[in-house]
Amino acid sequence: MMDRRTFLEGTLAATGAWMMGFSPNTHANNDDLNIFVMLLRGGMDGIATVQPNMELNRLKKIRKSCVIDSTLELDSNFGLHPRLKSFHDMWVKNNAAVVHATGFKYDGRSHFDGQNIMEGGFYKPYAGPDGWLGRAMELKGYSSLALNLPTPLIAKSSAFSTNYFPSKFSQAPKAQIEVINQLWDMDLGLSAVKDQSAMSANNGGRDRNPRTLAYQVAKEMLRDGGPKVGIIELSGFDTHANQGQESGMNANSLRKLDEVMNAFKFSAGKELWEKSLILTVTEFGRNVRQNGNSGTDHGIASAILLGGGAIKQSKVIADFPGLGNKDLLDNKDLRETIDSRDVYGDVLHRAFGLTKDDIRNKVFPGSQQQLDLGIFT
Amino acid sequence: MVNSDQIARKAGFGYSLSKNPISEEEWVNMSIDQIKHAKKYISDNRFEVIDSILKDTFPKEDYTRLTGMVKSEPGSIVYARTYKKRHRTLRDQGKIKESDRVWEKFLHKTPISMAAIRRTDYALNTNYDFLNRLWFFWINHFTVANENSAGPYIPQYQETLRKHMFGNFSDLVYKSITHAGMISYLDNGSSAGPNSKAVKKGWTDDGTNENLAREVMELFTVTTQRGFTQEDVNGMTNVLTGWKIQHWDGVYKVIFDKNYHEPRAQKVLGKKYSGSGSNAKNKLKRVVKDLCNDPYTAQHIAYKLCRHFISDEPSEKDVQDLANIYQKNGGDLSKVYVGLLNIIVKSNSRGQKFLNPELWLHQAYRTFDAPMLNTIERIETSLDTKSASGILRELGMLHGESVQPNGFPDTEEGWVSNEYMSRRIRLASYLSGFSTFKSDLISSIKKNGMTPDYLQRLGLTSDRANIIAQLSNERHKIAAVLCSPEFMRV
Repeated sequence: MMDRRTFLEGTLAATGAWMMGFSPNTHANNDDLNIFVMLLRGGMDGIATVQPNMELNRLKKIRKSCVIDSTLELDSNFGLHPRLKSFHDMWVKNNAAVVHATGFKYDGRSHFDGQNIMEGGFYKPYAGPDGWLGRAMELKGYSSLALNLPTPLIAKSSAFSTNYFPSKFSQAPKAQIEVINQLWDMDLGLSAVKDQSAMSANNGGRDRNPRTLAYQVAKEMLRDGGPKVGIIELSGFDTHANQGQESGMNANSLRKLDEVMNAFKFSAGKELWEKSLILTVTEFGRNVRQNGNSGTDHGIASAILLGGGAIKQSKVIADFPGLGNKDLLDNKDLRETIDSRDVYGDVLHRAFGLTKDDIRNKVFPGSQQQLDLGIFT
Repeated sequence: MVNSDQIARKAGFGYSLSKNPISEEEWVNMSIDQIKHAKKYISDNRFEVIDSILKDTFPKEDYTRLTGMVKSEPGSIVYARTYKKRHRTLRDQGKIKESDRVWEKFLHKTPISMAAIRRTDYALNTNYDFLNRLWFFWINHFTVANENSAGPYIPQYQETLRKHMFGNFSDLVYKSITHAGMISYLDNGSSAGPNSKAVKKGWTDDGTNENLAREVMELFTVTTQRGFTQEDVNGMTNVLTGWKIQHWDGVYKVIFDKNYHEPRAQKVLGKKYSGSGSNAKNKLKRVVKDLCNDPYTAQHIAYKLCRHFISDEPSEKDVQDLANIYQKNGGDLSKVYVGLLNIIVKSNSRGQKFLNPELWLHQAYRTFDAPMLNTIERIETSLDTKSASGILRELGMLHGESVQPNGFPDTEEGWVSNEYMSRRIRLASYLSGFSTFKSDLISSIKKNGMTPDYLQRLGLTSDRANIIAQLSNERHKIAAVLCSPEFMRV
């Protein structure tokens, strides 16, 4: 792991390369894939998203206000939330997969420790200064673009990560930007973010609708030397009260997620879509047993949605622990049977061609990396 | 003799280039004196400022409710109720849609906009610099944002924090978590004990909700460092059952309704809390007191204060010294503040703290005597360059709109990104050229040029001062100063 100083110097070097017109992505192996990450903050309810219908009777008892009566069929066991219609279309085309009962081996139920782990990728919160996706990008010299005000931890490393979010402020005169960049030249932290006018995405308009942002990501990926990785953040998954079922709060968040996936697919066009993987990341799932306010409190395992033209075989990957009283953790939670690091590790293995050893040592230190999702052929 | 320039930037809102500094000692003594006479600061509620802005902006009916919302907690509950009711009526009549943004704006954005004006007013138009900085710190520590209809409570909630931040920390925690704002924001209003009378008799379908309980322990007091279990969260959740907002029969207030309270004894961090009748109500006070006496809370608060005022990575000694002061004085915040100020002075930490967007903005105004922005946002689609809230939102830090209950970040790492920095450049550009920010000082600089001693006073390295001095356009000079590393890091 690097300390903060090396981290900043690395960032500086990467920016320098960018500035000189060296495009970090042109050396890409042609088989490598683009990755579009949707960070779902708040803890997405894996049960309502991909419902284990073989346990429907039990679900009707222990989460009657959150159960989904009419799911979209995935296989004989699992059904998809009806607001994830576009994702279901991908499924039908053999372009989608679900991993269930997965998590980061974290049972502290804190949003903030949990989010640090889901982005950092370590087994303890605050164990390192960078993020797992950033470390993977670093190994291949890839860059990322986050459609977000801060640069999310997940993308941080010495690899080049930039961000953009539509602003209502008008652009400053060029002369001002130039002189300010000059002032930042000798500053370790600020030189890494100078010359924002160089980002073509900065002319992306003012629409902050997540669909438009997903379109921006695809557009930037299509640009020569554009980012290999795109990141977008969605919130609203922390449904402690009135979570809803086919409609309501959680349904709205899932619909937004679905729109983002759909917007990315259509903006990417056939060629980029074939070379893309989209995936969700969330800090934890929610209790299977509902709470006293028709909502769900912080839980353990959740689900991961994977999509993209690079997926050739739709399937649910799960070692599902069951929902009987004895199966539930603390009498209310879905147990975790698959380490999410192994899932994202296999994704990176396919997308960036990283060896499992590199992933085990450098991207997710301490993880097993024995999992083969079996969806790419 | 050391002058006050550095301490004013570190612990206050900076200084005006048109005014000469006082001595550091004088600045510190003034602040300590203000803490000692905190009652004066508390009673100086400056309602007349927001009052006159509201009077000029809104028709009488709205004006009355809006001022009521700022001034008292019942007033804010009335406001929230009235507007939700009006919204429902119009929706049922088919006149507006559920998601109508004008209404969302009235319900949530207007209060947040008003709260921003109040903070700006305190920051720029009073000399309670250090106290106001502490107030802003607590607003972020005890974050309440525009979710679960908490928006209308925000101005009053922030005022409550201001009023109670000079006593014992446990009192501040108690006042925060029993305020209508926090109760709505973290879902406590409908949390009912499974064995409570209300549940047993079927008066409600509600049960427990652990949202507030978890954050009280994790964010406000002992943190996950302390180590607590789901059982502890359950205990805390039960202690908090019954605390809700009452709004019927013309009565609007936060109450403890024992009919909704889980009757049995509860265990939190190994200690049992029992009591029925009026003792059921004061269980919460007892738990909060114990949480605040925990050494992990002392450490947490000391660390956060040092990180906010001194450096992203404060020295262990500074943190420990402050934690000791907290513990020795049983969490007496006035003592903690005085201790903190002395530690800041001694820390020799110039240039180690990256200003967050709100502090940077206020210091920018102060430096160039720019007037306070006092327009309440009316139109959402475009940026109103005269509204404090619009500007703060674009800079990425509008209290009341943080995405998560841990509030806004407090380190350089959290605030430096291409987009955040791009926005600072854009705002600096506005400030240097826009008519909104007219001041005698800016006019004089534009007319007579920026004198070299300004750049020297702001502590720019000679290299950077030279780059700026060579610019022919005075407007560019102002923008460059505001975005210089020396101005952004204090």
